Amino acid sequence: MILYDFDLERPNTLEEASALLRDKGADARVLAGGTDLLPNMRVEVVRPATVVSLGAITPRDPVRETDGTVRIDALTRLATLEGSDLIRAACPMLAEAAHRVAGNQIRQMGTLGGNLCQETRCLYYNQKHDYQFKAPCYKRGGEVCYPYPNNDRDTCWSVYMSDTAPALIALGAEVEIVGPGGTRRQPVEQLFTGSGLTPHALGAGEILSAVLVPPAEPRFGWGYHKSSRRGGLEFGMAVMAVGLTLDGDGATCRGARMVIGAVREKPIRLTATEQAMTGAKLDEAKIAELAAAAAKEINPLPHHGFTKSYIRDNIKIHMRRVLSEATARARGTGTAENGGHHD
Amino acid sequence: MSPYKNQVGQSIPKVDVREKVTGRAAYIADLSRPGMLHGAVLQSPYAHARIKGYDTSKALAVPGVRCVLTGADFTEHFMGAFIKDEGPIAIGKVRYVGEPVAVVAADDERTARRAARLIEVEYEELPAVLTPEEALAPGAPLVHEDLASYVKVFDAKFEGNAFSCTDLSEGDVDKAFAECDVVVEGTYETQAQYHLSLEPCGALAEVDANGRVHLWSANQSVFRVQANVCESLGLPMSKLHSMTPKVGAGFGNKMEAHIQPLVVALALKVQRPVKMILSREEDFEMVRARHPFKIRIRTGARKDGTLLAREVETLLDGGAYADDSPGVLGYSLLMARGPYTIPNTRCFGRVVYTNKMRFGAFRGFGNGQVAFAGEQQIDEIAHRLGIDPLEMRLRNAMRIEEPWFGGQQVNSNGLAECLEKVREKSGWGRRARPSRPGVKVGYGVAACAHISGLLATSAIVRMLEDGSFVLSTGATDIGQGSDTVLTQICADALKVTVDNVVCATPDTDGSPYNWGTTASRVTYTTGRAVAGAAEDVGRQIKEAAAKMLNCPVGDVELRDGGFIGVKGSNTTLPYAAVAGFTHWASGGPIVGSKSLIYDAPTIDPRRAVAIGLPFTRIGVFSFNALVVEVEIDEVTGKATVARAWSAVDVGKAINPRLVEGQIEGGIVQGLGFALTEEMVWDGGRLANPTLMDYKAPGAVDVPYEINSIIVEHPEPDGPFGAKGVGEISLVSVPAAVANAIFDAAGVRLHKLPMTPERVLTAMLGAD
Repeated sequence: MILYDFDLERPNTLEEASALLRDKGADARVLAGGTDLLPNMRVEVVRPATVVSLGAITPRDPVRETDGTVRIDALTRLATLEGSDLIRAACPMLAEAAHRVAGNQIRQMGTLGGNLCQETRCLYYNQKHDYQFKAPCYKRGGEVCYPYPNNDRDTCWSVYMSDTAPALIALGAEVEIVGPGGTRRQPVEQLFTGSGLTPHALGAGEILSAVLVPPAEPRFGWGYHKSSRRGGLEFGMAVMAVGLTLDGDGATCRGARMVIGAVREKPIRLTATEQAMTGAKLDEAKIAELAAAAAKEINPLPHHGFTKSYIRDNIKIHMRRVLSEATARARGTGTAENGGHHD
Repeated sequence: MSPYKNQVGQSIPKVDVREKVTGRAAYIADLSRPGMLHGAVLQSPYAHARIKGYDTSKALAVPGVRCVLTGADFTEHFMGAFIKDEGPIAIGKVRYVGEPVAVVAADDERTARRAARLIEVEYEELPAVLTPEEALAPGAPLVHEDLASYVKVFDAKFEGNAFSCTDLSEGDVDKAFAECDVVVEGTYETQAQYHLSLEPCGALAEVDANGRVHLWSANQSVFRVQANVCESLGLPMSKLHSMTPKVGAGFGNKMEAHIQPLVVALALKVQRPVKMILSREEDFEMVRARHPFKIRIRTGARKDGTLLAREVETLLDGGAYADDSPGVLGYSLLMARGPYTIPNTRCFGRVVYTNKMRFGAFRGFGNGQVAFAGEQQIDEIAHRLGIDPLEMRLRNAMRIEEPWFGGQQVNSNGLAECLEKVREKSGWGRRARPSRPGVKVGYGVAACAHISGLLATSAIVRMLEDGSFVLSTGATDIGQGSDTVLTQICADALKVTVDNVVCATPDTDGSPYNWGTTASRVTYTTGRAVAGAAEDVGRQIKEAAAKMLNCPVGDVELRDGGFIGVKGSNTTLPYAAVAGFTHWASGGPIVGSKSLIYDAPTIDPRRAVAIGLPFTRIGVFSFNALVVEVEIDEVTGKATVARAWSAVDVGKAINPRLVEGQIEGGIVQGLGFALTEEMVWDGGRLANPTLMDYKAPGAVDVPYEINSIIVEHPEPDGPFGAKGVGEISLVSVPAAVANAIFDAAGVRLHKLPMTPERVLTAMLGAD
């Protein structure tokens, strides 16, 4: 139950919504599917004075534009994405990532834009604070950090746990943002600040309007894995997404994007490992070496009871599987579907 | 018309299935009364603190707030199943984070919850004890200073924070260990598990114009609710009418009181109906949970595999109030020997107050914890001696007619058949291990027994004017299907179909006494009462019919389909004719009843010594053997149960499909206990009181293939031979999974839950 009062606005267009957000300032929040905002309002991580509902705006179905780019309205439901023939054909990694979010009921409500704009999480502040906590944490405007009491940076070390963001970054996708100054586009990875306090780089009055996935290059392959304790209804312990292309020889890596989510305040691109990969022949030994390098490059925050070393070990193990799958897909030799792994 | 079939033994659909699948079944949260207020609770932020004062003025000033009650409004009346140590609310001091310190009634829930936050409480923080070891340390702060003066319903042995200490032994343990060729010893630890009823606890109370209280609540016993509310508020029982709506599961959490006393207190104060439903977090933080155990255990055998001796010591975290803890402790010791012939066994256990929420009854009642330890040791000995673990169990299985640990006679024992059935159905020892790269596969077996019984129950069967019947018992159907099973027993005993019998909803005004839907007891104990009451009715029907037919009673009999027949002739009378005769002509309406209490002694003083044991008459024994196939991911350590075969000796399956449902449900809840579920405290604060962070298994986390195998060794005095099945299939799960992990990976896990981290750490340590 949400115990405080708030106003509800229901504009008919994104432009109207943007104007409302700008007028109401920092006390307004956007409501799309509500699967992230409403629980956060209940536990009072956020206390908006105004909720701007996008419920009156109907998204268009995903379309392939003339240059091959797939355009997905931000309000597209995650369930629509996982079931869309176009998405499954053009960017199956996104369909897979959408499918891995929570459970079916939540995917029926949750939207792609909402999944990208979700708040960071932490075992402490995502709980009701009526009485358990004697003082507010940094994220709630206070001066303590419960999971990291010796946090010398005076900041919030919460974790950004979107399942779709790592996939979109690995696909080289962009977001379209509607704001007071019109519409702008930027790579998905630039949507994130890296701060647990304010994880998203959106200006006053700005709303995500669409996600644009570029066409896959020849000999492109992908791999995706979400590690979690349960098989469903979970946020990740770590989320791994890789997109790579091979040279004509079917073995040498021409370029790669390697992304880890759910371990830091934003999805992390492993640029050093990506560079080490480029130009390398992706055989079994090299893949094992790259997976180890990836685990070393990432510096995970221990979160939700998982230790740093266990997360690292898990990344090392699953990154090897993810890289093998991506390589096989790029060669066109393997379609080993990434089903059933969830640990 | 199809010929009449016996109603017992058929998988009849649940009698309330239609209202449930159509969503029309009303649970506590669905109920409403005219003028009803809503309650909310303020919880303690401290694990241990003295309450210096309250300021409720801000809360009372909120428009719509009708009443605020704090500890200052209650006089000291205490409830408790074994030790009367608990008031309806914190009085004088708080003993755990989350304990209710004040309650509010307001026009709507939102107002009530808002107002509760405005109540100011002045505390003086006290040093807290958060583990049993801290609580037992010399000079530790006392959670209850007045323990010695509390009323206790048994001869409790207590000292300091240890509120119940129990000794139980049989044979000469020291001498026997000296004769053993192999002795294994170890310590084991189990975690707190949340009951996770889909329906959180709630209650609704209304005071009528005569000052009588009518109370609906999520419960496992309308009579325990009545007793607890009246004890903790100092009300005469005749002033409280306790009823039940549909209940969204109970696993021990709804047996004793939760918030019913608070809701009644509010309704009495404001003289308006008040409803309060706990949020999921509140349900996590202030109801009860499974006891964490620490177990030191030693088992010895001869070279040929004959078990000779066992010694067990347990230490239980009891939390802030005694609740069912003495019972859980005593019962766990009674079960610690396991279902084997071990002539020399010595057990000692303590349960200790700590500044955490109370721990109480939970499906298995301490048996799963000791089985996790004891059943691993049976395996260890088998491996040391080169004996197949299942064969080892068969060799040592209690012989039929052999008494239980303590000396109680066992009148039916299907353990050997359970073991043989799971061996056969699982292909034990003959199954080729499916090999996949990166996956280790193993098989584990465990066996156990569990009781059904305990305490009193009764039933009334009334014949209606048209010859159909109303069955009244005090047994709440908590979703497991007891209304259906009891209806089948009644119908079968009267040779009518189930649609001729209606099972009345429990209600302390209208139903005869039943202790509770707990201890796997309703089918066995209440079933006996129902069969007895139906028999009484049958006798009266025959008497009336004999009068109508002008023949000796010995000449008439009940016939299939609801008829009275004259022996050796085709002359029949429908029940309706008998009912009409008794209602309108002679004899009076037929009412049959039966009351009973389970009273076979648990301890035979010639065999065993028991000190501080709160139960002296526990019940009859069901038996179980379980085989699981476990897959372990070699690199992550994740253990997954791929298949399970569980055989349970239930005496007689009154409704086989419902028995299978109980077996499957127990295995799934047991898998959560074994692999993923754990309540974690950060200091005194429960860190994961949400279904996101508390890892109960979901649909994709449990095996597709659960093979439920029904074994029937009839209990001589059970209804149609039936005995209980509610808890037993959970008990063996952690042990069987641990044994399968050993089979797959060669490591022994001593701590639950067996998470990937723990399995992996053990595997890495073993290399």
